[in-house]
Amino acid sequence: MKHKIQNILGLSFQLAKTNFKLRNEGSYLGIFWYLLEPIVSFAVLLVVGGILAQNTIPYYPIYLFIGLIMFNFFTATTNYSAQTIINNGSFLKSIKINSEVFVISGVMQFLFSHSFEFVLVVALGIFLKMNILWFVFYPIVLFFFSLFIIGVSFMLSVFSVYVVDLKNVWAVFTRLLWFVTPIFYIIPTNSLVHTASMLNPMYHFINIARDLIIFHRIVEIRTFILALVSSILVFAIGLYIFEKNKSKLAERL
Amino acid sequence: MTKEIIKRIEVKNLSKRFSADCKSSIGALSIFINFVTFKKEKKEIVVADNISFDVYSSEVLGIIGKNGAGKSSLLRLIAEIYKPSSGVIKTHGSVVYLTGMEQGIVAKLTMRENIYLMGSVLGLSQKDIRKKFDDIVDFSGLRDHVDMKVYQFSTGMLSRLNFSIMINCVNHHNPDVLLIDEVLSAGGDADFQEKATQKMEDLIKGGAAVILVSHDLLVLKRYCNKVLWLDQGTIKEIGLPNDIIEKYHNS
Repeated sequence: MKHKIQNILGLSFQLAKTNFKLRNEGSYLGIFWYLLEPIVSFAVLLVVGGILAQNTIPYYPIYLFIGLIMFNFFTATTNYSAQTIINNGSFLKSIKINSEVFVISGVMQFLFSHSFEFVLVVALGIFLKMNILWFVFYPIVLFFFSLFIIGVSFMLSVFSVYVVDLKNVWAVFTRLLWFVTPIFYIIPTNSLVHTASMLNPMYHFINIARDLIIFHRIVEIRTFILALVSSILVFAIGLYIFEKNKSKLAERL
Repeated sequence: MTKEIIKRIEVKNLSKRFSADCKSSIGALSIFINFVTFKKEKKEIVVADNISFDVYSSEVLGIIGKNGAGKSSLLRLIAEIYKPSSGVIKTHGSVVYLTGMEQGIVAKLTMRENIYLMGSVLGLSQKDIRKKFDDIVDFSGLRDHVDMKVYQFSTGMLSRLNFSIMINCVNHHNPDVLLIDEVLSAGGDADFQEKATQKMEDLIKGGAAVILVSHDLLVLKRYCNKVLWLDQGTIKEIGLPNDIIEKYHNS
């Protein structure tokens, strides 16, 4: 069992590294090109959000940037997972391989880029003369957030084999989710939207990270524990669904 | 050389059915509609129907049959890529399934990177690949192109690379059960063909239990101790190579 997990993680890492390299292929500015996209959306939203919201949030740029990169991590990974099994169909059919690697390597690959983006956030924090010490706790949030994303990815990768157009459905869904998650705005408390947001896991993960980094506090302990437990739960359910179905994946491709 | 004879592959009453659905019936909308209206359409394809046979170590079993007879599916069932609908498959020892692996080569990577990638996909650790690396490069004869990107390779060079990676990785696993699906011809020029055929022959005669799927009747005659004739998922006949091939040829 231990050996198998080691194998899966090792191979996933190799595949993630290769894919990451391929994405930035042939360009010394590879990483820069990759980071350009979040930086541009950050800049645009900073201007737009600054004008529209007249907001009173301290360190609004950090507030925005954290929300943006966390949501990006989620969207990029899950949309990738919704097609990875299909795209690697020929592999799955021609060798006996632990099919988990195609999902895990996707998560790893976007975790790499997320880390680069986070370095930018830290740089911005230094520029704004924030107390940098609190950034150190982010990896803890990121760990549970990643578990949550792996769980969702496992489920999507299985469903994608049974529902051919799942990737389109999911792309639209994540776009909608982007708008209902407070990334560049704040949800007024005591509103209906606020109550509805309680059901949005992205709202909670982003909130926890922001509270830690900007306000140097942990959200209500109840919410915090709920988020941790639910991320473990989503991971477990996703893994269960995947393990149950993985022997049937190859023949559906 | 005397070697203990062990039953390596045991297949008993194996059946496999695929549910056949057309592309349009597995979209999100039609799944939803079918679910709401309780509509259920089920068609099945039988790719293996009540198949039983054994293969012992040092034995080579050839499989012949028309396209779509279920040859590749049978190998995938034994390799545990597919799950049987009913029946038992037992294998003893390490199993290697060999098929055309061209799809694994990534055009935008260099030859070196491709060797590492394919090696890890085929189950070798980084350390093992490093050890095998020179063997692979030497065998392929492409030493001068190690750091060239593969999209600039000619077709012949690609098949050289492909075959070298495959054969060296397989040798590393030292398989007890070898399932070969139409990959005996290596491509490339005559020199390489000869080298590759020799390597393949060593592998087949190395004492593993081998199942060989091929349309090349001469190859089957040359290597096999036994031939199985598959027809629409059932065993039409099984027996000595010369007899079966003769009958198959005349049918």
